[in-house]
Amino acid sequence: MKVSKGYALPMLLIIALGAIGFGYAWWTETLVIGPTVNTGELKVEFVNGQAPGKDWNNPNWRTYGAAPHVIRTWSWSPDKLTIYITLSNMYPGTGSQRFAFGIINTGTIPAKLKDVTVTITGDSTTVHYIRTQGKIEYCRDDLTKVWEKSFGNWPHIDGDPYEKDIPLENLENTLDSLISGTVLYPGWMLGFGEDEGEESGSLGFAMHATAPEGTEGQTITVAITFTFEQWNAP
Amino acid sequence: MRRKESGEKMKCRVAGLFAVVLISLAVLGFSYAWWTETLTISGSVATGELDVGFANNATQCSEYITCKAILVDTDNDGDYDKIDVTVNNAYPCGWCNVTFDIKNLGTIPAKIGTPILEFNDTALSVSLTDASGGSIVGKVIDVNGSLSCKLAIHVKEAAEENKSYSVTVTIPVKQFNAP
Repeated sequence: MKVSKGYALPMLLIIALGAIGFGYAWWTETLVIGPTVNTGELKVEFVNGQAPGKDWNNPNWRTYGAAPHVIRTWSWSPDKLTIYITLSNMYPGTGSQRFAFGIINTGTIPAKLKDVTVTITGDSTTVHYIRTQGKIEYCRDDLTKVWEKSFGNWPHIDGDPYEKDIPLENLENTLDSLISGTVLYPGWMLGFGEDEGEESGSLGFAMHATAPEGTEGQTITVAITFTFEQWNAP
Repeated sequence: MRRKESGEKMKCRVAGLFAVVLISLAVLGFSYAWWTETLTISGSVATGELDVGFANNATQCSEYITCKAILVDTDNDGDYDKIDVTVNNAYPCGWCNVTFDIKNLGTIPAKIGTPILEFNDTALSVSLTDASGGSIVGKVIDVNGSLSCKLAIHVKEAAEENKSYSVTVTIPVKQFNAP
């Protein structure tokens, strides 16, 4: 095929420009947005407890109770979300054995108490004769009280202290109905704590005076788990 | 015979004389030309400028999240060509919206290309729209005009605690008549 001289020259020019890297481009500009998203932390944990305005980390105030010979021990799970309570050598008519602790939001976003689970191990008959009472305080990060709620025979009074107390097997439902749904803002606290003396605050366990012979020599272990979720969970 | 030799000598002399004259004229810079006239059209072409920048940035976040957006002039030409956004204390289902204008600072209309969004789609969802939620692709911004946009960042449930996620949004802008 014969290419006329009129076409050959432009073709040669295009090929030559292409060969040496010439290109054709529209003008362009580029804008950039560079966000960084840093996530927060959902963290709630137990602290040893006593009254608002006092030292919540003083281990000397963990447990107390007037009844002699009863052995009270407690611990919490490594993640500080479950508290284990053991009561040994209880006997009929044992007065309230109390545990003071707080649950504090140490994270950066609000946490909502989803539910409370109480796992009880030990003889069921004995469990039935263990009664509970308590007072819960909802405090701001400066430890000022927002509200308080109590259950069972609280404050503890003389006379028949057991009739109003909550059977241990009902503790889960009682706590659930009282405090589930509570939102702990960062630094805020739910306190089962000593208030102004041993007669108020904390979570208490007593043994009904009518406990039968079969409840002797029993050890009851209570594990209470507080499950939190981020405040805006559906 | 002698006459023939004498004629050839004469020819050589004449040729030699011409050669000497030509060389002499060339050495002296003499040239020979026809008369000429020249007509000239003188013109100049001043090109325009394609230039866009960010303006009017603002942020809005869900509760407990803090968010800030700062305009940056990366090439020191007086226009803001980057927005640095920092979102702190984010949590699943939390969100942050960054609103801003793309302003045409040049002399020819600008057309928005297809934005490139790079992010961890397991932890985040990110979208870039105009202020009413529509696509910005192909939108033409007239000279001195602007286009209001919204960058929406949503934190998914799979986002991890105490983690930093980076997002890069690149918005190509072309001259208005580019294909």
